[in-house]
Amino acid sequence: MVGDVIRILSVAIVGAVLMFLVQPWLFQSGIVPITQVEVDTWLSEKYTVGAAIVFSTSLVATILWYVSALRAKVTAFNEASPLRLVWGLLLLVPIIGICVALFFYNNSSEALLSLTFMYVVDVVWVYWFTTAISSPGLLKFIPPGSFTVRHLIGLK
Amino acid sequence: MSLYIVSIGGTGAKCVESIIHLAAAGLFGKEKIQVLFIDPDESNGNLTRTRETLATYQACRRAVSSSGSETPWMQTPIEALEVWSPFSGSLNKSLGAYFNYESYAFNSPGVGHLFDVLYTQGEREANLDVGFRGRPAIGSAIMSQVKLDSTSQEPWRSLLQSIELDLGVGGGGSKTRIFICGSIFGGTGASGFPTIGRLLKNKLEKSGMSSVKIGGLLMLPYFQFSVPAEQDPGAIYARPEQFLLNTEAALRYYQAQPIFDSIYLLGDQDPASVAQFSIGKNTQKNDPHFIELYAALAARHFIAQDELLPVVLLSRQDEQRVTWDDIPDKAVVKPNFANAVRFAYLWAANLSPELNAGKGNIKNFQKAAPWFNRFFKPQGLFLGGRGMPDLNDEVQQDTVQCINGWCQSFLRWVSLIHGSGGSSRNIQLFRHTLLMDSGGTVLQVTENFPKLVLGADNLEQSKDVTPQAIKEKLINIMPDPPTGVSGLAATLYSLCKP
Repeated sequence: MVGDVIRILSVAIVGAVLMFLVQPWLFQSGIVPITQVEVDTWLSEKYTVGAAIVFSTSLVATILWYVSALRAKVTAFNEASPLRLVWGLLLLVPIIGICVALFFYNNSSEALLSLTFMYVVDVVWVYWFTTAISSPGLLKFIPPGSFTVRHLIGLK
Repeated sequence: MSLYIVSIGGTGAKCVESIIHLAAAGLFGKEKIQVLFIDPDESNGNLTRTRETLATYQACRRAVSSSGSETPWMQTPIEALEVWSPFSGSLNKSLGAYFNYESYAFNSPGVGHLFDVLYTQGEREANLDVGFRGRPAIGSAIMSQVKLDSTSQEPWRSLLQSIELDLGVGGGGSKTRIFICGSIFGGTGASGFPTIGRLLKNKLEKSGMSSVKIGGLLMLPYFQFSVPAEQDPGAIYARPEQFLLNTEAALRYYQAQPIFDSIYLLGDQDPASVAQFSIGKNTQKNDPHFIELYAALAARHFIAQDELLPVVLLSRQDEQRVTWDDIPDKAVVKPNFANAVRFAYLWAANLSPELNAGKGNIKNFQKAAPWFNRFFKPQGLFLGGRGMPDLNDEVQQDTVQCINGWCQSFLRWVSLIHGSGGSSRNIQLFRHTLLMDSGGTVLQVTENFPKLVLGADNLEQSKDVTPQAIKEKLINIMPDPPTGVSGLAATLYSLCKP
């Protein structure tokens, strides 16, 4: 359990660095160009709020999944499989977060595509990857792809 | 230390059945036990069931020994010498035929007349392929004809050779003991017990093997049955109303016969009722009884003691119930016995059905059962598992079946000894109603797992002993456990320790 929590915290910190330092820098440096709005103002007024929504919804979904997995009573493999549905339903939380962030906190149409891509990557990192490598006990392989990911990185 | 058990008659066989089960639970150490069954009724149901139990034990032990695990489970090698019947090879299995009664009329009429005085015509002519029909007088005459001095008579020859080998040159080798068990109140046991005991003692003394200690376990009446009204009252068969009389006479005899170094007498003042009356053969198949658990513990006591006591006393605290406090050496017996029951239940109710369901679709199964790839080769690319066994291998599937067989047999026995107390006694060791239904099927209600052992509140309250917690430990156990079904079973066994 301690290992799981450390992994969740580590991945969340990396995710936060990615979302609040690396991605804004990509816009500021012009690697991802935005010309219609003033970049610094857009970043502080729109991007940061939107990224915070995506990050927090992903983190909340991750924590909800971990707690429900920890509390789940599972004694047989056929009781574990239906929990994939719970994982899928929790995935809707960050997806809704992306929609809210894009709809309410983006007034630059030229940033829409790149922003969507970045938010999806963020959710993949903060929700999917975290749950894939940190799900507890008998549910450790329930997040899709976790079996392969854990084997590939030596976390059997 | 080597132990030789001589099981006489159906009751002796039932005692051996209990010994096998307790040996599986790790209560008999690592030294070999060899069993010699004596029964003129070779198809006796009790004997047959015990031989089946032994075969199940041996198959399971062979299958799991490959794990190399150090658990006490099945640590005792048990071998059976042949079943010996005094009538083996004889076509006419009657007392008269055995002693050539017909020839006395011509050759020695005096002996013939003596024979007439000692045995009725019915007793002389009764077919003894069903055993000695509750008549020790018939059995004693026949059993006394065992020729232990003859080097060709099997399995006695093998038994004596093996004892000789154990003792080594000069007879000063390892501690070797012989444990003879049978009933005092029936036919085969009552007649064979003293006769075989005396013959063995004499033979060992003559052969310079007097350091071998002989222990005896006599089962006093602990069951009864009703003789059906249609049964011919003049026929020769065991009569429950004579059990106590037979017992009283036999006990007087043993008082004057110093054959055994240590003797155990076990009985019950409230005999259980046997549902079906049977003279012998395969219908004589009585359910296990809790007294037989004590019989196995007596055998355990006999081999554990350095200094043998001529008489060992034991009684229970409460007439109405048998609890862990009434079990000798409770500190060792309870955890080991509980360990075996918990494992057998968890395997039969949970792991085995999972393995059966999973073998058809390993790719999905391995994701929902994360302990799987600690013991078996995972399916998929770049997943490793080189050298690990495939669950679908024939050997692995056979091992699953062997362990299942033992679990069923063991849990059935545990359930039945609890049910043997009848309405007047309550056997309070395990919650047996949680183990199996009335049809003998293991109940797959794993929430009951922490409640199986009575008087173990720590197990019921602890979250660490649920099936889920145990299976989670399977995932993380370090160092790497032995692989395959045998490795999984051995690891699970050690995790089921209360």
